[in-house]
Amino acid sequence: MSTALYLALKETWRNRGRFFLFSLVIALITLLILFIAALGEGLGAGNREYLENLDADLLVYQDTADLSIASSRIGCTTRDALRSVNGVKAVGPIGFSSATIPDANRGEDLGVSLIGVDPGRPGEPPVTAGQGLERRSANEAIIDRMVADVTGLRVGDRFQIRSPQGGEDQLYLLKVLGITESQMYAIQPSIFVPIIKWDEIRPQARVSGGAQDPACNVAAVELDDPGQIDEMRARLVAQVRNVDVVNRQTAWENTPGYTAQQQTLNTQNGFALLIGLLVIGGFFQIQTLQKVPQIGMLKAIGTPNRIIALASLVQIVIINLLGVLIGGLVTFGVSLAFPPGIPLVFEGQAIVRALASILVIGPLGGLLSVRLSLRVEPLIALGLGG
Amino acid sequence: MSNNVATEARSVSKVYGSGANQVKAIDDVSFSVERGEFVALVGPSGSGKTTMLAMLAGLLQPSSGSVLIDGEDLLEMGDGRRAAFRRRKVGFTFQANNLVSFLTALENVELMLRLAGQYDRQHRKRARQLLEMLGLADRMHALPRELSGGQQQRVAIARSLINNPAVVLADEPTASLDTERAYQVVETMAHLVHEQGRAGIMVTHDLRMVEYTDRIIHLLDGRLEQIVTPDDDLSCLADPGSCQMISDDVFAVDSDQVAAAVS
Repeated sequence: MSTALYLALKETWRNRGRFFLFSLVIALITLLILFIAALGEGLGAGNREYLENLDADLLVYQDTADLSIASSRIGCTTRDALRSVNGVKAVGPIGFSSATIPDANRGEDLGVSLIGVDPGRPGEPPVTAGQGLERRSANEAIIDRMVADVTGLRVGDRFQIRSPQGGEDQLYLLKVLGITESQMYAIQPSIFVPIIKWDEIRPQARVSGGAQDPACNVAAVELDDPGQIDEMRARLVAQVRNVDVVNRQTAWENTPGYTAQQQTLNTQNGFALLIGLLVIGGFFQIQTLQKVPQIGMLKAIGTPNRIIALASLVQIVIINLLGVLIGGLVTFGVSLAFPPGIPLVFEGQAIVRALASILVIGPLGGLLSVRLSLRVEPLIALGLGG
Repeated sequence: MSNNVATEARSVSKVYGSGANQVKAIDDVSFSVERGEFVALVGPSGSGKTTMLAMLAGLLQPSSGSVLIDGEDLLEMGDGRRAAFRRRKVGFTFQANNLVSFLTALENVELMLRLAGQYDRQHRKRARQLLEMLGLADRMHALPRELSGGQQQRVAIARSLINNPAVVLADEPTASLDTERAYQVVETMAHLVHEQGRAGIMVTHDLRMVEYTDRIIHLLDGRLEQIVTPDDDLSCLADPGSCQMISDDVFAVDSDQVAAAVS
């Protein structure tokens, strides 16, 4: 190993200009792959954050809705039936719609997900500032941290929200009771209002005063024993009519466009990795082709294949590591310059997976050149064979 | 076989291709080289010089016959053992691409020590001494691209000798050098081979260089045409048609008989 390492380090150092330039190419590939991963993570999180962080074990849909939140209606009777099933700890209604926070100062309206929940029941997010919702019909709201950052709203502030009602936009005044974290849904920051208020605000064909016990889209179910999730899912389906019950992951995977979006980004990432593989493989292949006479000479003087292969591999790993390091630092620097509204998330498993995959494609791409170097005949040194 | 024989080719033949496309590159060649003897392998292009050298180094398998270095038959070794054997017993100087481009002159010589597991203070000192002996004291830390062709060849000679090999092989070591540097390189090589008691075999097509050798092995169309000394009439080397064929019987026996035949 030591002679292989010696040869790899000497060659890399004595040709540092060339190898540094190639490290920059790897850095650019890293930048591209990390950005696609961050975009995937950002868009994914923007779609699933609320459902992922939900304080419930199961979500209940109308069985004919085909797991579409917008198409699903769960009424009061169904929610009562869910509550009566043995093993259910609590049930909360959740209603989803969109609204706009107009802002003359910013010159740009902020689109938000308007989510109706029952105070104190599953579905209401935990607050990190202020307090939770208190009354089912109050003009009060919990806002996501991103809404607070963009609008400058703080606990106790009042703000207007706009929603189309009967063909005209209506404005509703709400008071900020609390601020919550990481609760995006449908790639929009969320505001949470009591379910009766939500029923009143949500876009409707006719102006509505809000029913006393409105139908919601889905019901969030908290179990006595979260470890019995599969059994409880079956029990709920068996005991409550016309419902479909899924866990949180299935719920967010069925949000509109989520799977297609993630598949698209994964495909882009796959192609970027493939391009990286070909570029890195191509570079080291050309580099090895240029060194064929030298490799032949090394073999002729008795250098074992093992040392030649290891030296190539170590060199590839060094150049790749350097490129990934530079690319990672550049990506981090660039990410700091992005405004918070852009769905780029440089954390989480997706980024770790992306970094790991780039670290793997380097040596993988270089394997061809290692194979080529192993096949070089020592006779080349004498002008024979080859 | 005399105890002083460092390497020996016994009825070596090499055939390329098969059937109608068969080409006999080397045809039943036998000779031996003793320690402290510097031999030239000469012949026109296509005569089989380099093929013969490759077989002497264990880089190429003879179709028949055997090659011995220090009494060990290269054919009986596996690839890995043969490579290790080459590291210990064979020193190499090539026509071109002699040095590792990213290592300095000293590092190129020391590489052989690393490969042989002898990279210690004593051997490193010897590497420096060899380079100094070859007039490269002030060029030890120069990269190959910073050295002239002659200097590169001298570094290659130092590398070929650093592990005290039994046999030093040189393939056209003067091909890319001007006359003055070519003489310097061959003279140095001959001097070190004689002084250190190695067996040196140099492939060359430059007949001016044979004056530093002890014997000249003349190949023609893959066959051993004759073995002469630099003091003999060398006109037939330049004009192979005028050479008298030597009986194969002479070379099928041991080195003493060979020596007797050429004297």
